Amino acid sequence: MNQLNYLSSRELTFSLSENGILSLETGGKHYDNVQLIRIFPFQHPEEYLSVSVRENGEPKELGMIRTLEDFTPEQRELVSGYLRYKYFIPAIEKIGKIEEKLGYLYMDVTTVLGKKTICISDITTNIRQVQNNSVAIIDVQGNRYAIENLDALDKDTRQKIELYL
Amino acid sequence: MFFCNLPESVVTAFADRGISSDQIRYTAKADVSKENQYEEIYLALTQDELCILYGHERFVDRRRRETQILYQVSDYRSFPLTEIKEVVIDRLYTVSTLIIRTDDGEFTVCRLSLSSVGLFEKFRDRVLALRDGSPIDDSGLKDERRCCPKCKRPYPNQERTICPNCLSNTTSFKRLLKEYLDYKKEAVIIFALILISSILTLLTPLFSSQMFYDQVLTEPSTVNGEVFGKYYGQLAMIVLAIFGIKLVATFFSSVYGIIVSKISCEVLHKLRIKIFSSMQRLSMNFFISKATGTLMTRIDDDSDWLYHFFVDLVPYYIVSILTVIGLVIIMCTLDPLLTLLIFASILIIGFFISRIQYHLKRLHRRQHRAVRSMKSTITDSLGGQKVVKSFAREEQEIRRFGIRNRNYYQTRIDAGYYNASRMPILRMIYRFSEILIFGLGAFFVIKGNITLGTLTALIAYADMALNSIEFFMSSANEVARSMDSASRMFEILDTEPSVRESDHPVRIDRMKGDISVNNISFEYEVGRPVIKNVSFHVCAGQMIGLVGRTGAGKSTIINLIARLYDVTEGEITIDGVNIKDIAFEDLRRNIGIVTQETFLFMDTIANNIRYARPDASMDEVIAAAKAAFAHDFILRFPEGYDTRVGNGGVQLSGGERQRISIARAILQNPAILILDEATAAMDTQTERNIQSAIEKLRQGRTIISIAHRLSTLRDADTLAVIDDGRLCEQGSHRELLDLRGVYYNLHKIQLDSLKFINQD
Repeated sequence: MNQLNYLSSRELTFSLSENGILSLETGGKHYDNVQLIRIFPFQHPEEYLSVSVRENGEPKELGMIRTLEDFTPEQRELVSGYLRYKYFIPAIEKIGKIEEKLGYLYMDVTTVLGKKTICISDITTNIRQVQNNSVAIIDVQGNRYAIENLDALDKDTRQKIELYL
Repeated sequence: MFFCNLPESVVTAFADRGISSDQIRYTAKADVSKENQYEEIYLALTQDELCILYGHERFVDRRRRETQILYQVSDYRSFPLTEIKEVVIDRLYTVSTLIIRTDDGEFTVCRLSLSSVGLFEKFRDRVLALRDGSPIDDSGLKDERRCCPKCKRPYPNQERTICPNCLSNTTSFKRLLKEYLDYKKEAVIIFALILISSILTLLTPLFSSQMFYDQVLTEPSTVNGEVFGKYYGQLAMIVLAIFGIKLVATFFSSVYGIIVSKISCEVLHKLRIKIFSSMQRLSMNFFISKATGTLMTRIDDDSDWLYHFFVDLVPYYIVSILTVIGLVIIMCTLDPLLTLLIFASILIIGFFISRIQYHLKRLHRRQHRAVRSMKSTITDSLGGQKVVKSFAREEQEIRRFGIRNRNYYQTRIDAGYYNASRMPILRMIYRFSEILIFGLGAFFVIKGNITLGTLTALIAYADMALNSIEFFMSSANEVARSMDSASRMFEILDTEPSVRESDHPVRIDRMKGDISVNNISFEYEVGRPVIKNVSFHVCAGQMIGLVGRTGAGKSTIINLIARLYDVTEGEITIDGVNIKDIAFEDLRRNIGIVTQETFLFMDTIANNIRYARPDASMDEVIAAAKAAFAHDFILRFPEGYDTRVGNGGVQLSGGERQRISIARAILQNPAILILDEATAAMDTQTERNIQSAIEKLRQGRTIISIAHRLSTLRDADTLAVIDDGRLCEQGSHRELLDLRGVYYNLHKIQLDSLKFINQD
């Protein structure tokens, strides 16, 4: 079995540009446009992170970060913030009118980005309970939305979405 | 206009800022502001500048008229193209960022939902091309998002210009009725029969209750000028009359039932054929996007639902409507006050029934989901039994099934409990109200306002009214479900094939096989190109080998040559004619494909071989099988060439199936033969034999061959090395080895493996 290449937090210094582009200093080298990928985005969002860079135009994995706990508080905050930014999914806070029309579900939602009407096809596939309490929704255009905590929803919204879970 | 059509209000907003619609070459729309709020951001690209409007759209829906889109501008910005150094799309998980770099620094333009990223990548390419004055190829571009002309919302299914937002169940119903247009005469007969049968049913209580009590059981008398007991004691007459009415009503309802079921069978039979034919017409990406199971459901389950709708629901709806109208008229003539009370109590009961049914619908939905989840666990586990057994995970599978089964059990208990606890209460309320009405009616009878016969008739009518109202409520879901089925079936009929034959196709009976692939690019998903600017040429009669790693894009190239998909950019010509202009029939007849995944139909081996040429003689079939080294193994089956294969037939090995597939291609005798890993499932000896068969076939034929084993391609005139969707090397085996590039490395790896075997 391949040995996993875990990177030491001491050797990594991340920095973030004003436009949210991540850079990395490690082993005396500077990398721009670094990709941090959550290997288990649902189960371990702040552990098991893959660090990739581009070398000669090709993506290359430098290694993995086992956990952010070993990082300095500043670095940890920076990386966590970046991951939240990168993996941002508009969270649905409230569901208004729901209409089923010819096999499509039209749903008026209020997300953290504002109000929107989304259209969902093939409801079984595109409204999925991913963990016990969270729901992933994909609309016909391929945009993703999330309900992070079913228990935190108001009773009306919860009853509306439960019909499709 | 690429890539989105600008609403009138946005065109005006740009015009107000000096950008006329004639100047705009490309447009794009983003939906998230840099402050992370939904906003409508319109980008317009002119020859000289990139203009960006920020604002909010408001849809003003107007009855029977087009929706108006109002646009409130909040900000505007423009960048001269000469100042733009770089356009960056920072691809994130769901919401990406569009950044423009200029000499003055970086500027975040907006954020992009996942669905807009692909479009913006094309938009970015055009910004840079216009800046640099580079040529732009828009030939493969489509209007990215087609919208409903009425409500202006994008069509959910872009290949089908039907807007569910504007359509209702009535639309599907009307469309379905059109299928019945050939049966107008029968429809009139059915309606007449339903009408007669309903009238007779309505008359029954007048005989069985009112006449029975007031004219047969009551002694002859006259009260307030009204005569009673006209048929006193004539029991046989009344029984026969009721029996006669029931018999005639039943006869008529049976006759219309038979006619409806016969016509519906015919209509659905025609509809199924229409749908299956439409499916055959559709392009490959339709089948890739829809699971086979879903498609089978459409032909099978959906037509059953429509049958149920027309045979059970529609006639009963007509009967119920006629009954309710008739009931109101008859009951009001009997006693308006009691009728009012009866209908008031029925409506109250109806309200409770609808509440209970709403809740039951939720519980049944949950139950439905639980049963589906349980069934998929069974399919999953039984399908993977080989893996389950080899890892000894039977107990784990039992536990997995147990959880799903428990969930299903719980949802059934919940629905059952709810039903069992509410329905008796509801019935009790109804019975109480019936008793109350009966008591009140009895009071009226004593007071002499109505007769006993009238009261019993009213009670009987009340039951009929409740049944009709209950039917309306309980059938609403079934009607919606049937209309969903209709809409799904129409979805196939309305879907336009993405690969379409030219309106004036060029006919080429026998191609020479000269293939030119010119700067082609292709993407299955917008923004994720799998073939990037590939060009090569194969002279007629030559053999080209496509080499490269798995997933490099080799099979995609041959799919494009066979026009299973259309290129996004560039063109492919055969004998100098763009394949988009060649008639489908000629193109497919002249191109034979043998792939690694061979498919045999449920038929005999002989018929499978002559699938492409059903008129081929048996001699030709045997000759083709011999050429493909299939003859010997076919003879080993007791039923020889008549052996049935495919689902439910004899199971063939991968190599055997592939040899039949090669025989099929040999018999087709195409000008261009495409071999996609055709010999991968064969042992070395058979592969050698097949290679020599192919060698014989090469005469007068162009061959495109994909193979991982480079030795298979040793006879190719030229080799094209594909890597990550690009053509990175091309030349003969010797030339490519001298290049010491990708091909050299692949060759070295395979050579090393052989050395390793030799060492053993």
